[in-house]
Amino acid sequence: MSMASRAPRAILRATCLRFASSSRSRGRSSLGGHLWTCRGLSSASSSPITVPVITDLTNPALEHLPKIEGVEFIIGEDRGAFEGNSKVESAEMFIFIPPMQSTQTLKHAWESAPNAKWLHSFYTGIDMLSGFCSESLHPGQTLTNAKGAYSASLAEWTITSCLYFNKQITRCQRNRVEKRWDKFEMKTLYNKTIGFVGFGDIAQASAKLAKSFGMRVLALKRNPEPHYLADHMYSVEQRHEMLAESDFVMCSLPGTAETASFMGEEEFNAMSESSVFISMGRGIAVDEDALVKALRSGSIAGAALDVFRVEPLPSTSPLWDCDNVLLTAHNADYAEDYFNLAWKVWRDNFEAYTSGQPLLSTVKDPSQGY
Amino acid sequence: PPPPHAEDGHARAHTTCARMDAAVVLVVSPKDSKQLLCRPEVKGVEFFVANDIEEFKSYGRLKEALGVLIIPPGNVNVLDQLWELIKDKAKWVHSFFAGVDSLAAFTKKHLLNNSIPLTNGRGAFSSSLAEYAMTTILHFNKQIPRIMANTQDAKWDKFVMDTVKGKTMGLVGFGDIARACARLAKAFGMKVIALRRSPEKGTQGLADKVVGFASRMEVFSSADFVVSVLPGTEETKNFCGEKEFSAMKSSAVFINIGRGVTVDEDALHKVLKEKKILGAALDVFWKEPLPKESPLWGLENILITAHNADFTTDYAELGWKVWVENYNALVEGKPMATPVQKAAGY
Repeated sequence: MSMASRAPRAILRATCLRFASSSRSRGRSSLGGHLWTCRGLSSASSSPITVPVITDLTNPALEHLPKIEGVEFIIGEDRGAFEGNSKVESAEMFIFIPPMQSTQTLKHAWESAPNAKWLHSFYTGIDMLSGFCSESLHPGQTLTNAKGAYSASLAEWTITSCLYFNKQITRCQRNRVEKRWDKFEMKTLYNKTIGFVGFGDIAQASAKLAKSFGMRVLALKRNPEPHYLADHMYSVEQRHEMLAESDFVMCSLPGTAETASFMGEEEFNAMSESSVFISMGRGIAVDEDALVKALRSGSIAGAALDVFRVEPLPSTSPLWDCDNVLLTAHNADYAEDYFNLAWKVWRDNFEAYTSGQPLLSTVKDPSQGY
Repeated sequence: PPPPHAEDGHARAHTTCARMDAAVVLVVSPKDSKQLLCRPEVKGVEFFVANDIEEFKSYGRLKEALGVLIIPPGNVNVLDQLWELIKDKAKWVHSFFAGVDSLAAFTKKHLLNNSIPLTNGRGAFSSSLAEYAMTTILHFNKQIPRIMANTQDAKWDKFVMDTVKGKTMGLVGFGDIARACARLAKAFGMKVIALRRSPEKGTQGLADKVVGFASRMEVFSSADFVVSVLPGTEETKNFCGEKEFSAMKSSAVFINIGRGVTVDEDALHKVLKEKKILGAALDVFWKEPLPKESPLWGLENILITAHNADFTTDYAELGWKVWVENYNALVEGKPMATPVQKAAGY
């Protein structure tokens, strides 16, 4: 999969993909893409199920569009693709693939379909759907997302960040360039403490890995019920206590009205001078000015940042100049199977839906923003 | 005044009168060794620390020695003469760290034909080495050097980030350190293939596959990350050489946290320079400190540490803990905690 070059594809405004039924063999097609048969669909069903897909036509996720017997995807990026299309108007299931400039097309397509029941947002972040959810998502209609899909890669990144600072990789690299035999005392993660700000799928997967290193796990949640993966759970009011105790702080908060600048000057001051801040989730949860101040003054030892308020991070951002940071381009979970993982989540939900079972990755309270 | 006892570098405020039945343990070590700072008080044991034979000879209770403890960089050359003086009563030799290669000559001459146990500090340092192995694996898998360069250049580079899940760790050697590495690899969802002398001993479920010497190339050819944890013995010299490196995938990484003598450094330098493998991480070398002239320093696709991957804060404490376990086993008549196979050298 090549991310580097993607010329806009010359495809029609509305592309219909129709698939013949059961004469194909089951199992994976050998030429990329996957052929799935859906248990929930009877092979005798006459007309294919229509699934409108609202997204920019150049979205790379479309290159991995699954081939499913009995399913017809109608892909469009503007109203014209869907208006007056009776198949769209009778559709129950919709897919929205960010990023898009606006949710207007989605809103129109969705509202034109009285049978619309289930909207799947392709990735985990649903921040751009807040307006849509309050205006157009009604009781009886469900929103799902890809939560959990990227937990494994992000958990790996959490540990990578911890080890990068713990084992002093920058020092090792400098030593190599200067040919210096520097037998410094090597720290370990064992018995160190990691504090999670937010404790959803990503944090929990990271906590599991942290435990395998013998780390102590602390966590902070809105609803701080005890959790088997956390040695201690903190409420939002107790956040400074947790921050003070942590050698590593990992923030995976979603981007909502309440999480904006959650990690601010007071929070960074509460952290110990030897501690490291790791940020994934959404950049809006971090006050970047306060972070720069903390890094420059030494009130924290370092940071590993994958998400930012503005992405791409402008070259003028002072974060680039801090020498105790590891900066990634919101690609910590941008693995080779990035799109396939997300399609799999949709497909698993599709299977559940067509078998009359509960959807798997329902966003329970869309008004919360996650 | 009573003669001083238990000289060990500390200025004692008062001398303690040795109980005549306290067991004597001779410690071969420089007196200012950091490891001595956290020597535990062990009931019924009197330690005598020295680093040359004359000083040992001056110790009044020398011939009562129960055992010898060697703490590198203690002077192993004293052992030959020392043992001659104490062998009538001495029952035990312990090497503070895991590596007993520096004791090979002494072991061969004095310990092979008797049942005197030689024990070592293995297991004490395994978890820090496993952490280090994972660090190096993630370092290459996530392209840390690329990220560091991007940060320097203020470059937003949304590259495809690989994952270690599903990748294969190939372990060369299957002692404590390898086992600890395997456990961590499994936590990351990696596959593990191990090479050990006696594959029939299995891996207690820690590896997905285990092979013996005859099939060793399979480990090199199938692994994404080869982790070599071999001890330094006559048989393991240059174990990892041209053939082994040639068998590796071009996307694979070689990691050595055992002994430097097990790697042919010229062969490794060549494959790294020609980019026939993706990279290497070395903590141990034929010569330590690694001389400035070594071409290994000049490679870009290498991570070098100064035999300090396990040089942790609690390094000394852990080492003493293992010594105490073996001491207790000895006095209680139980099997030693960490016996070394004297003939094999590990």
